[in-house]
Amino acid sequence: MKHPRSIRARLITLYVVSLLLIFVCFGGYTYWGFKRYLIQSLQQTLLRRAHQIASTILVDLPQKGENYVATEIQARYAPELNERFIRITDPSGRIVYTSHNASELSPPPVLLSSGSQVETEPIRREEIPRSKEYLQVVAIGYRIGKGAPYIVEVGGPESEIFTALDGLLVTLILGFPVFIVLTSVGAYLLLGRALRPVDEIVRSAERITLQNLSLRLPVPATGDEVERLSLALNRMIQRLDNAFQLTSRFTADASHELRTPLTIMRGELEALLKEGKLSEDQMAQIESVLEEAERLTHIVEGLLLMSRLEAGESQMVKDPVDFATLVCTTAEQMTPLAEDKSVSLDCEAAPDVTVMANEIRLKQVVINLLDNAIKYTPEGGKITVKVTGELSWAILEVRDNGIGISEEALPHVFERFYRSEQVQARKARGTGLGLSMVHSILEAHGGAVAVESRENQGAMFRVRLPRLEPQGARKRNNTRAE
Amino acid sequence: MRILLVEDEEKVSRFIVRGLKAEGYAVDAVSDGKTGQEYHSSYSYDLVLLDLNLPGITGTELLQHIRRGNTKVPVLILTARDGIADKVHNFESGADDYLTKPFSFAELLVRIKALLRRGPVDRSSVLRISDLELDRVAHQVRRQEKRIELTSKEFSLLEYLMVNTGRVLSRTMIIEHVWDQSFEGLTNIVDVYIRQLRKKVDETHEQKLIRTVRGVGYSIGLNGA
Repeated sequence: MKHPRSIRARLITLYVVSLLLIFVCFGGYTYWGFKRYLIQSLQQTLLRRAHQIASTILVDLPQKGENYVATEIQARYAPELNERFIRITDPSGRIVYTSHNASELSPPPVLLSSGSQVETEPIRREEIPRSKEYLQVVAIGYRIGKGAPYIVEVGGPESEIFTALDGLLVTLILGFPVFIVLTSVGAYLLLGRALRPVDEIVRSAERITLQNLSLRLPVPATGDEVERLSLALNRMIQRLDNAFQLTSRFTADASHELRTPLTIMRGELEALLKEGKLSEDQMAQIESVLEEAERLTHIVEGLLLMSRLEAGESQMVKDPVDFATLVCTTAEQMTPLAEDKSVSLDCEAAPDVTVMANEIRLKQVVINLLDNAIKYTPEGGKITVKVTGELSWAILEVRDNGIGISEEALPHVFERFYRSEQVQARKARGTGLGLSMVHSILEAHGGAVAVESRENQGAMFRVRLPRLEPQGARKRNNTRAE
Repeated sequence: MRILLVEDEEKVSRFIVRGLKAEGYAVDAVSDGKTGQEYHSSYSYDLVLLDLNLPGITGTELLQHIRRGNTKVPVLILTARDGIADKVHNFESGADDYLTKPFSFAELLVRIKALLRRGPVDRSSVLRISDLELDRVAHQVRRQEKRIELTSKEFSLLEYLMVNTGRVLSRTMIIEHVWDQSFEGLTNIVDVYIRQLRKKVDETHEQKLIRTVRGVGYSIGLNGA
């Protein structure tokens, strides 16, 4: 089974997949950016604190001594309570002050800058004290008087940042499916809206057949590609219509024009024959030409009939026809032809199969199919005709066990004047129009004909016609409706 | 018997005139509607053969003109048009018969004879040719007083041949009369029936009555005529 491919499904898949990618990228970027921002702002807070400590407390170290510094820091910043880490180291590397929780910090960095500014450029680092969480540490150098700077280090945990980031991640992950579902549904609806005119064009295009080439597709006045598409298709149908009418008119005109010369030929030849002044051989020649003239007459009639059917034969009167009776009566009438070739012809029909049809034309269908079957079934063969009724179709099957149709010929049997090599080899004579007439008549009735066959294994022609609802069923339906 | 032929196609006109004269009819042939109208007003005809596609006055107009004169003259239309609407229209205008080109002369002749003998139609219940006898009422056929069993189709075929004894009937005509329009083109069914009929009627007898005219059709009669 081949799955119907729809633009809608393909576009939606594509759309959702790209949205997914975009969303993942966007989520990643947001996460990364947010993390960067939080770390930077933590570092800035730490830096600010280091400055404060240096400029308000450390600056008084020479006057008030180390104990003052320790007390002041404890009092103002309470590093243990706030999970801050504070450490001050003097230029010789001795620790002037350290909060209790800073004991695990790695040694202070060597400050490269030995210029004359009071404060040095800060140095930022990340640390993982043993069995503890991540820490951000900022170190600055601070000069008191001349000489090398003291080093003030302030650290803070990253745990808050990760809590915030986890929150963001949860939001993103929870939002993800909702987002995908919403966008898919939105895409589905929007695409449906955009593609609806295409669906309408498809439906209308399906309705257009050779019988109603005058129909046109709806043109949505949207000014977009869809409008241009239907306009272009309509122009194409117009060209087809013109070409087809031209061919049809040509066939009809040509057939008409052939009639008068044919009349003259036949008349003159018959006159010659009647006078009987010619030799036996000459008479035989004229008889042979007359036979051909008659065949030509039948071909002309057939072509005319078909071009009229294709033009939708407006005069064709349709009545309800008892299909089973029509088929079996015709088969009976054809039986002498079959018997003449010692071919058996059986008809089996289900009752109550009624179709709306032109009786003469429908009979022609049966006659042509049977004539064909008889022609190509050798002596002792068997032809079975079967009428059945499906739900809304009347089915006619004509099955024979004759020479069959070769694989190459099978697709062409309903074409006008098509002769397979098998037929040519058998020198069967006919108009070459029988089966294409069957095809045209059925088309004009909203039916169809199909063939199944294999070489030397017989053929089965299957005719399908819209079935008229049986009277009983119609009555029942009416009662139900009331 | 005098026949007026209005036909603009010269060659068609020529073989019809020749054929009808050979059958012993007097024929006036004209090639346009106006002359046809004049001839019809000036002389009295037993039958008018009328082509529809005429220069000047069309065949249909001429037909209407003839009928306005309230003439009872039978009119046979010859035409290359065969749409049902055309046929209905012309029958309404008063045509008695309608023959579509291309027709065989034999067919034209049979139709002309049928129109001319319209008055006293041979309605006798028993048709006879030599020792062959067909009883239309009892649906029985005898030859040399011996009963021949025929199927109903075979009976209709023999009856049609015998009503037109001596005339050649084309397969198309036979199909139209004995079968129906849908069998048009299926002329081999006529051949099969004729063969069966011959087996039953002619085979055991010295004198053959059914004759084949190759390329034209069949006829029944004495001495093959």
